Amino acid sequence: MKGWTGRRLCVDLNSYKFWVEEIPKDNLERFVGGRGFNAKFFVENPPPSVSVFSPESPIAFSVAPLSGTLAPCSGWTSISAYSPLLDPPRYVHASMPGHWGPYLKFAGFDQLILLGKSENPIYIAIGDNKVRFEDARQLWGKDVLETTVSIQDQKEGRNAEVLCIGPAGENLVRFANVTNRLSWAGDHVGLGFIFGSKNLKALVVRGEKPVILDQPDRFLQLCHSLRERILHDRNASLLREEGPFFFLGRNGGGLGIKNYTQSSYPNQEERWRIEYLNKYLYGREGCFSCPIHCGRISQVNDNYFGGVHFESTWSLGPRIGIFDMERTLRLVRTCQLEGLDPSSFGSLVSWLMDCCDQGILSTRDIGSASYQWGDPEATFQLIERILDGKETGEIFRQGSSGVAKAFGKGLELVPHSGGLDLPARDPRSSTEYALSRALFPDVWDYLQSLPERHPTASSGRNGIVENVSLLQKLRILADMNSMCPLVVVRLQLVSESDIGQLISAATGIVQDSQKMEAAIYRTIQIESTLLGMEQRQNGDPLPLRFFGNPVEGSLLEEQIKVYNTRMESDGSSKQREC
Amino acid sequence: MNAISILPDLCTGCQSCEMVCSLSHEGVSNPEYSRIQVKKWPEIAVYIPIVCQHCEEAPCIITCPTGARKRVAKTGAVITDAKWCVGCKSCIYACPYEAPMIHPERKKTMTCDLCDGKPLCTEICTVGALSYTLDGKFSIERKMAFAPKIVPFPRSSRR
Repeated sequence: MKGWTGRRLCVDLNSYKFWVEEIPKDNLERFVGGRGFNAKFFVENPPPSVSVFSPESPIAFSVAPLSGTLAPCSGWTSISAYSPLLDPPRYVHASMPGHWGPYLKFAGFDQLILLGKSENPIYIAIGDNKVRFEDARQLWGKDVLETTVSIQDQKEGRNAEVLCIGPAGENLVRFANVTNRLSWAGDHVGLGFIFGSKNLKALVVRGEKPVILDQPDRFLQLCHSLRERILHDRNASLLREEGPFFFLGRNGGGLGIKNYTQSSYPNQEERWRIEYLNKYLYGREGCFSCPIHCGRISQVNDNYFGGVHFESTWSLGPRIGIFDMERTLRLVRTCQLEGLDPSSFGSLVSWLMDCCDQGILSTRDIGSASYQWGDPEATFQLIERILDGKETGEIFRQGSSGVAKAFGKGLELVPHSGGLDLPARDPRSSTEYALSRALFPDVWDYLQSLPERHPTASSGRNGIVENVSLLQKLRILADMNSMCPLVVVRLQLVSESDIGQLISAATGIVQDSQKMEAAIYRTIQIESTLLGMEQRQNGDPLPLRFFGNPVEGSLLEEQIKVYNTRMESDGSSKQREC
Repeated sequence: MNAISILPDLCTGCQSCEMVCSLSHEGVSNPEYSRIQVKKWPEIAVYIPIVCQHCEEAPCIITCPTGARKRVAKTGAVITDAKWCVGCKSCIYACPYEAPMIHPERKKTMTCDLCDGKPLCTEICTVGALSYTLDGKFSIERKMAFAPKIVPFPRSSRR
């Protein structure tokens, strides 16, 4: 088969058995790959009963026809499961950057389904036409770095791609994540918890199976012209220079500070960006086949580490009242090693500090520790507490919404949409973004609004709805093709027809814009069924905090100030001219 | 002598070079089919592309028992003649960079052929870690300066 492998690997951890299924050709064309494949699988194979701890709860990993090729920005992996952060668990989708997905393809599969629960800790090695269940008792308790290096150096080799959990996933922290190559995480929906609940320490893939292309020369030519386009784009150049920090101060402001009691000014964000770039940036990292290389390697004293994103630094920085980048980076690094999602952890800490600040939670609820705004030591202690489960640590493992429910306090202060933690961006900063969060809480996304003066942006009340709908379609297009949402959705440098041409050259099957559009709508429809139509129709209104509380230091005030200053200076210069 | 110059401090580990090499030489995509390989140490954020340096006094040519390793007159590239290669791996052991790779299907060694004078990996590398250096500009001193960067790992400034 060309482009696709047409094969799905199913692994049952209850019986330590695996089998390979053919994906019908019709489904390959109708759902393309990635998010489309996962939705189709879940709707055809609903789990018998889904509870948070159900070992039967499956988890699906999918790639697309362009994965594992030179197609720019095609290194992402689509992961779908029932999120343990939601009660009852709900179908969610996460996109993971990095290198793991292409290697699943090299192992010979378009999709991997994990079922059941292993009796003892294991890791699964996939490759060379084999699936091995390896004992992971020696790895249990090791952090993400030790796990990855041990697996590679002791048995699998440096060319194997490891996706693993840290102690957080093992201890069933619901906001634990899974990490590939120490930098790239599948997070925000509790995938680490699912790995932990299945006694699965890691998934290792490697393989020699080549991705066969229908027209290699044409494919190479198309890749070259797309890469050229990306390289010559101004925004892509900025993204290449500054990484994800590029968005700070260029998005019109509006990141939540101190649990969204305040909202950032553009110049505040810019200071945060410049401090990182000047003092802590060391080098760059790239996803598979990416011409942009937006991953950043940071340096703190003698430590060098990748995977630092403005989201994680903001979530463990200003969002919890810390304005010292070094302390923030130390917190981010600790979360990375332990396998905690820094954004969800930041959300929990900010809620906790807010509740303590307002006297909603007292020492009777949370024990001896005190959580004041901007206290890094208390935050480090909270990580330890969550991992060892002592005192109230067990409760904190449930994430901000779960903890608020367990205490029965501070529910209105939890920043969430549909039960999942909100990204750092304040929903009051953009109507499009707020509407996206309310409509599509199941897909964690901090970019769901079009940049100002974007050529495709519509204006007016209906324009906002049109923009949100367009962004959702583009997001599914990116996820369906396992491509980078930054390039497809935010920068819009790769269009439906570009992807269609690449797929046609790779697979030999004509995939025009019309077909792509139809596949997008199919995915939307199936996901609606999985989520329940009611959810889609009513949306998930944002928490009351965003309606009741006017934001301190709002963007509007800032804009008024800027306007007044400009008018004064313009006025005086005009008067001088007169 | 012509060769691909490597600045490992700039490599981000994206593997685009491997993909373009595999695609242009074999018409398929897989790093195992590529003549250039990126060695990875993500725990210290180090990625080093390894590719044949077409040495002046190439140890692979000296050690090859069948004479399969030879220099192409036009480009100066040292390549394997598949007709004579028996897959004994002598060239891999002799190479200071461990640059030759075994072809996954043919089981014979393969190395960079400089794409007939227009190496595609240098064109695809957008960070400048790879560049094509022509005769005379690629001294043995420069190579010797590069060698210690592989072990121990590079730690110089690379902003």
